[in-house]
Order: sequence, then C-alpha cells, then structure tokens
Amino acid sequence: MIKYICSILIGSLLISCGNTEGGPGGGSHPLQQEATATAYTVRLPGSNPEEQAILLTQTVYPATREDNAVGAIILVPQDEQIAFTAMHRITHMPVNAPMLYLSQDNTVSEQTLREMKRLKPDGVLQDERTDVYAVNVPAKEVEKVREILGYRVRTFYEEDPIQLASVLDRWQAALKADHPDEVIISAIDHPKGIEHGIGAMGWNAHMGKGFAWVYKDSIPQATKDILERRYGDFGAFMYLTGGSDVISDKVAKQLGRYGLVRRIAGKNVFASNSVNAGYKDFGRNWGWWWDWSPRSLGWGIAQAGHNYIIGNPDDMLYMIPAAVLGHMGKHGPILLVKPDSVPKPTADYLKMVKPFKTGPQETILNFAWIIGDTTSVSTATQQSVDRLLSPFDIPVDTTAYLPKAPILQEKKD
Amino acid sequence: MKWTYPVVAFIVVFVLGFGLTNLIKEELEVSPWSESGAEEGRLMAHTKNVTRLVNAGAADLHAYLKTAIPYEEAKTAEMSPSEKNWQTFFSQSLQVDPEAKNVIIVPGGGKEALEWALPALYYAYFNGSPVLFYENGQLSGSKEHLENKKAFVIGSTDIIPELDDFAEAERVTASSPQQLALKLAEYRDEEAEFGWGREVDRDNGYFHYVLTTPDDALLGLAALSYARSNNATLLYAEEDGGISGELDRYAFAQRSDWFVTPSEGPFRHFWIVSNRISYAAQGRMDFAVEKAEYASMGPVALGDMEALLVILVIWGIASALFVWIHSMYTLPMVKMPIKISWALASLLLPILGPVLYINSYRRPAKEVEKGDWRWIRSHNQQSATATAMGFGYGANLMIVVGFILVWFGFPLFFGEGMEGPFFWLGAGMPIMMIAMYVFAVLIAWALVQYPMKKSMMPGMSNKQVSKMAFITTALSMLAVSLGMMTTSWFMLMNKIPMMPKEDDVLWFASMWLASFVGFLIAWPINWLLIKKQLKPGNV
Repeated sequence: MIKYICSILIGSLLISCGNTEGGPGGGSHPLQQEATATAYTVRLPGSNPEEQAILLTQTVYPATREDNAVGAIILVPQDEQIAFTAMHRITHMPVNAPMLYLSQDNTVSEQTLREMKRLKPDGVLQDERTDVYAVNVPAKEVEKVREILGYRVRTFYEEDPIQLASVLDRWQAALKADHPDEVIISAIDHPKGIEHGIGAMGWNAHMGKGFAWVYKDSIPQATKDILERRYGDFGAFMYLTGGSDVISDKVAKQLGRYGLVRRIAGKNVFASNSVNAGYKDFGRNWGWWWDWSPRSLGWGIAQAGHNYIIGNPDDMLYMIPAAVLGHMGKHGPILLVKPDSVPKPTADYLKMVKPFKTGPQETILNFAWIIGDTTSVSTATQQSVDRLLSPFDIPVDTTAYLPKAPILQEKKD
Repeated sequence: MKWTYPVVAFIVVFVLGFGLTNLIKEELEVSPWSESGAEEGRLMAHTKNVTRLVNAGAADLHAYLKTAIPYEEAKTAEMSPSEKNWQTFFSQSLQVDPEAKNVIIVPGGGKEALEWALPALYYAYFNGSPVLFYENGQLSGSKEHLENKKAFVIGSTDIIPELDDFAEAERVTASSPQQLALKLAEYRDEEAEFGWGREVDRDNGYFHYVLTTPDDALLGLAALSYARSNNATLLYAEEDGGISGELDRYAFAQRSDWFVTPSEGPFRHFWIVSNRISYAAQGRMDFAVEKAEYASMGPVALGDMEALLVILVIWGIASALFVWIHSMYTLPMVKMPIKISWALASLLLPILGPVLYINSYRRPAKEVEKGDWRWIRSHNQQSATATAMGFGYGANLMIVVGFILVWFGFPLFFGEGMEGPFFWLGAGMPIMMIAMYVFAVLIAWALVQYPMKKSMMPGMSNKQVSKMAFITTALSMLAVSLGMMTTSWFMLMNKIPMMPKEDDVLWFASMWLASFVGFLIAWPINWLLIKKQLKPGNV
C-alpha cells in the first residue's frame, strides 16, 4: 500500500516538474522584418484587418500552455460598429477573448481558422465552457468552426448594433450576476463616433463595464432599456465619448434622467483619446451599511510607467481588436496619431507622462505598441513616439534614423 | 444500508482528491494540438512581454540598435563587436562615472572570458563603473584613482586569482555563466552601489532583461544599449535554447502584481537576442512576467493569499487523516458512519475538527445496548457533535457538486424572460449555489441521514424516518449554507479580483474557508435542534 502511495506521489511530483525544451526559435516569420522594435515601441504590422487581428492574438497569447491560451475567441465580420460593440462587452475577464475577423466575403479564412486552432481556448467557465463567441457569423461558418475545430460556439445574431449592445448587456449581466453601473456611450450616427470612443472602448476591454449607443440627437429605446436595468443609488453613471458636436447636449440632458452624465471629450479624436487616457471618475456608487461599492471608470494615467496602444484613426478595424493589448500584458490606453506625425494633443499627453531618471538601480519606463504597417503609422512617427516615451532628452532629430538603417528583422542564416 | 456511508466518502475523496491533484499538475506540453507546436503559423516572433530581435550576427544587431536606440546616453562604440575586439568595444562604449563607488574586474581574452564577463559588463555600462580586464596575469588599463573604490572581482580564482591592488575587494562567482548572471541580477551591495538587486521582494522596479545564451554572448554585447535605455539585466538561457529551472524560478519571482487594475506599473520585459532560444522558452518567459493580481499571482505562481489558504487546506487534510487513523485504532465502540463523518468534518475544519472530536470522546461513555454507546457531553458539545455529523457529509458533498459544475462549466440563462429584478438567477454562481444545496441535501438525505436515523430509531415507520431525516438534513444544511454561501460569494465574487477556476487553489481554499464559516453558523442552530431533540448529540 505504502509503495503505491509513494509511486503516486513521485509520479505527481514528476509531472509537476520539468524544463522548457530548447530548439531554434528564430524562425522565418513572414512579417518579422516589418515588426520594427525601438527601445520603447514594438510595431505589429498588419496590412489588413484580418492579418492585424491575427498578429494581435499571436502577440498576446503564445498558447504554449493552457494558462497563456485564450478563454474564448470573438469572431465577427469586418464591420466597425459590430466589432466595436463586441469588443466593448465580450473581451474582458472572465471571458478573456481576443477578436478575429471573418474575411471580406464573410467566411472564416484558412489563416484565421488555423489561428483559432493554435489559440485552443480554455472555454469560459461561467458560460458553459464556450470557446467561440460568433457575432453575426453565417451559420455555415459557425458549423465549420464546430465541426473542424470541435469548439463550443455561442452565437449572437443582431444586425443592429444598438440591439446587439442590449443583448450583450443581458448576457454580461447573467455572466457576472450584476449590471455594471458605469456605462460608456458612443454616437452611432456620427462619422467619428467610434474614433472618439475607441479609447474608452479600450477601457472596457480592460475592465468590463457597460456600453450603449445613442444617436447624435436622440436615445434609442434599446439604450433606454439598458440604462433602466441599472440599480445603483443614482441609477447609471454614463460617460459620453465626444463633445456636444458628437453627442448633442440635448441627448446628454435626456440621459440625465437615468443617472449621472459625464463626457470624455476633446476637440478632436486625438484629444478625446488623450483625455480618456488621463480620465478617472471614482466615488460613490452604492452602499448599504456594512457593504459598499464605489464607481470607478477610466485609466487615470497621468504619470510615467505605463503602456500605450497607438494607431491611426482611419484604421478603426485595426484598432478595435488591438484593445486586447490593454487587456493582457502591459495593459494601457489607446492613443491616436496621424500617419506622419504625432498630433499635439497626443504629444502633449505623452510629454506629461514622460519618464525621468530616478533611483540608482532603474528608471521608470514607458512602452507602446504601434498598430499597423508603415502606411498606417510611418517609421518616423514610430520614432517620434519612442522619443516621447523615453526617459532621455533628445538633442538631435532622429525621425529619419530608421529608414536609413539596414533591415535587421529577418533571419539571414 | 451500511454501504452507503463509504460510498459517499469515496465520492468525496475521489472528486476532491482529483481536483486537488489537478492543482499540482502543471502542463508543460507546448501546444499539442498543433502539428508543429505553438510557433506554427506565426506571422512574427514578438509576444506581449518578450521582443525577439532576430539577427544575422553581432554586427547586424549592433547596426540595427544604433538606429533603433539613438539616444546619446545609451550610445555604444561605432565599431561592431567581435570576438577579437570585444574588450575595446566595451571600453569605447562605457561612459565612466567618476563618482562611481565601485570598480569591476572581469576576465579578459577570448570568447569564454566574454561569457563570464558580460553580465557584469551590463551593470558596469548601466552604472558607469570603471572596468578592468584580467588577462595573462595582468590587469588592463590604469588603476589610477581606482584604489579607493571597492573592487568586485567577477569569476572564480581559476580565472582571476586573488588581487592585492585594492583596499577592499569582493569576489562574485558561480559555477556557470548562467548562474553568475542570475547571481548578479539579484546581488546588491548598497554601500558600493554594485549589483542590480532585482530580488523577489523588489516589487516596484521597472526591470527589463536581455536574454541570450553564453555561446551567443557577442550578441548580448551588441545589445549593450538596453542596459541603459531599458535598465536591462543580462540573463543567459541554456545552450540548447531552453531555460533552466533556476532561470524559470527567477523569472517567476519577477512577476509583478496589481492591486486595483493591471494597468498599474511596474512591468517587466524580455529582449531576446539569440536565434537559438526556443519559442517554448520565449512563451515561458512571456508567461512568467505576465502581471497578476496580488491574491493569486496568476496560474502556477503562488500568491500571498493563496499561500495562506493553502495552509488551511493542508491542515484540513492532516486533520482528517489524524481523526480517521486515531478513531480506527482507539475508538472501536464508535460506529463506522460516525468515524467517517468526523474525518470528513475535520477535512474542512482544520484543527477545530480534531479538537472537537477529542473533546467529544474523552468523556465517560456507557453502552446503552449491545454495541451501541453513548457519551456524556455538555449541551454545547452535543451541538458541535451534531453539527459535525451533518456537516461532515453535507458540506463536503456541496463542494463536490460545486467542483463538478465548475469543471464542466456553469449553465447560463439570459433570455428576455430573465429581465427584471431576478435576472441574477440566470448566472452561474447562484445556479451553482442552488445546485450545491439541492444535490447535497438529496444525496445526504438518501445515503446518510435516512439510514442513520433508521438505525437509531428502528421503531419508527419508514415514512416518518424519511420525513424527519429530510427536515433535519435540509435545516442543518441550510444553516451550513448560510455561512458557506455567503463566504464563498464574498471570496469568489468580491474579495478575489477574478473568479478562480477549477485548477486554481483559491477555488478550493475559498470553499474550505466558506465551509469553516458555515460550521460556525450551523453550530448554534444545531444547539436548538438538540434542545428540541430533533438530533442526537451524544453518539
């Protein structure tokens, strides 16, 4: 008997130990030479939304073991409003899901299917071990995922993003047995509604609060339903992304009957997202005698030592899945730049959080991901961002350094 | 019906044993679901906490980093480093701080000397420490103005013998370059300001690391800029591209925690500059330094709260073993179902279980019928005994049901019909709690309480016994649930930032803690049941 017990114990010990095997790791990855790294930035160089989404999942989830694989995968068509809504509500824990896109003909491409296989979801414990959340994915493609990969798929079919937000709100509430009282609100009919709200969406991917759409001048019924579900002492806490040119003051006033309304807004999309990075609202939510819960929304980052996700406002389909970088790894807000320059609001914000030399053993460091290839964000802009993130003053203009450099990022032997 | 008790005990031990063993198991397998590993189909090599600089050689890497890191403060020599010129390259790169309090003595010469010297060169470059190379029995360079600085000699006496040139000297060495690099990463002489001092308790530092292999030390030297630009310590992987247990241990110790949100700094990052380091090793490093919440420090690692609660579970197992073995050898007059009950209760009541058990049986006893003994106990002790009788089977069964649900995933209901004030009944946790209570009551009623009551009250009809057993089981378990469910909700949904899963010790530990609280709540309620003579407390 003792022998058997000893064998079991030794066996358990053996399977719990080991080392990580070696073997070449350089590889010849097709985009490695495009993934330029500076001291404080690394580029994830997708040339189309589908590829960008795959690069993001490969960056965030090595999937070498269960614990660094995904909880689930979000699969959506290349539709900004649908993807934006899904990323707002599905990504965060306990789901832990990055986003992958259908191809432009609304099918799961071979490269996306292979990536889904590589990711091998752990399954969401709170939701029947679901592996894939398919939002408006054709039934035939859902069947393909089920049959070929054997994954458990939960489908959401709602062509109207406003209704989709409502369905996802109900689903999230069941998942967490709670309605988060903080609700981020973006304008669906404003051409830059998503761009103003992309940073706040990044916060939701990071912290999993509520989301709803409004029109610039009115509130849809589905959004009223979402807001009425909030039971906090003051109802909902609403955060409008964009100024009164994006969501009118009339709507803000009407929303006031559902709770407290705030704006996360700047004069343009760059400013709105810079404000978002530094924005923090906290205080009372609800309390009853021995228990209480504060509201808390926003990154509130106003000092050095953080990470950023940086991309181009014209590439929202690239930026939406990039919010997963704020959900795992170094976590951090989304900032926007122009392809060939760092706009003043973004630069001013980065100057505020610029590190400086501290103690003898280390310096506080910033870090940033650059989303998209050099047509989205130029090499010079990447270098300018690097400069802004660095703890050093720059005596010379280095923006032209990288283009002159020999390309290193490929295995030549 | 005596078979029912060991069957319930077996179910409890089997399921909880499986769950707890599953905690120990650590899967190191690299993506077995892919044909050629997790690297299959990758478009680039970077991961969120590791950047891999694929290169064609030291000259190539050096040229790249001169432009990628263009800062004057992190400038290195214009020449490319090679096995022949590496000392010159370093000397030209080093910006000596005249106020540095230390001087570093490293081996000079060929490639092997570089392997030993490189970890210290990184610190010297970061700190501006003067460096002297020991080669062919001599120290290179001028020792002028260096005598009063504390010397740190890197390497064993086989490489650098004892030196008399300095008033104060200390040797730092290890059995391999890999271990030396790790030693320097943790080493700190505060007075002489030498060593990175990046130990497990440095919770607030923004540490980066350059990772290479000793054979690729030249690549490490080419990436010297990182020592200044990114505060990077040099670490070595194994020559085969894997990582050693020591490096694995160190990297996990560098994982930083978060209290409120994971966007809190600090963050850790690896820069890999060797092509031979495997993707598996990269994945491991990426995982090792991924930020985690304070309570659990993530999967595999052990958080402070986890450590504390693990003690609770281990004490529980020890308590159960003690009670079981003790009762088997010393209490032949106690019936088997009672012994099982005490052992199972002690499993969830570390220390308290054995104390109550001993207190219950170190008392006068009398044999009321042949083989049927009663112990004379105070009312409080009877209440504790009666609680333990129901709790031993019931609370364990509740955890078993909970574990099975967690293992297979919670059902979820969120249809339009679920809207309204009771929407939360569609959520996994309430469903789990209801299922835990209902299934545990049904099993305990049918397989434990009914046969137990039947044997104690042979004169009563089956229907009456059945009804009485059900009421007492339901009431007793409800009392346990009051404490258990409240505590498990507090722990899993409130206290722990992210709800632990079936392979997280915090799930089990929370259940243990919740059960303990459940017992404390049920105890006074059983006091009433004893008083009403609905339960026996002297068996």
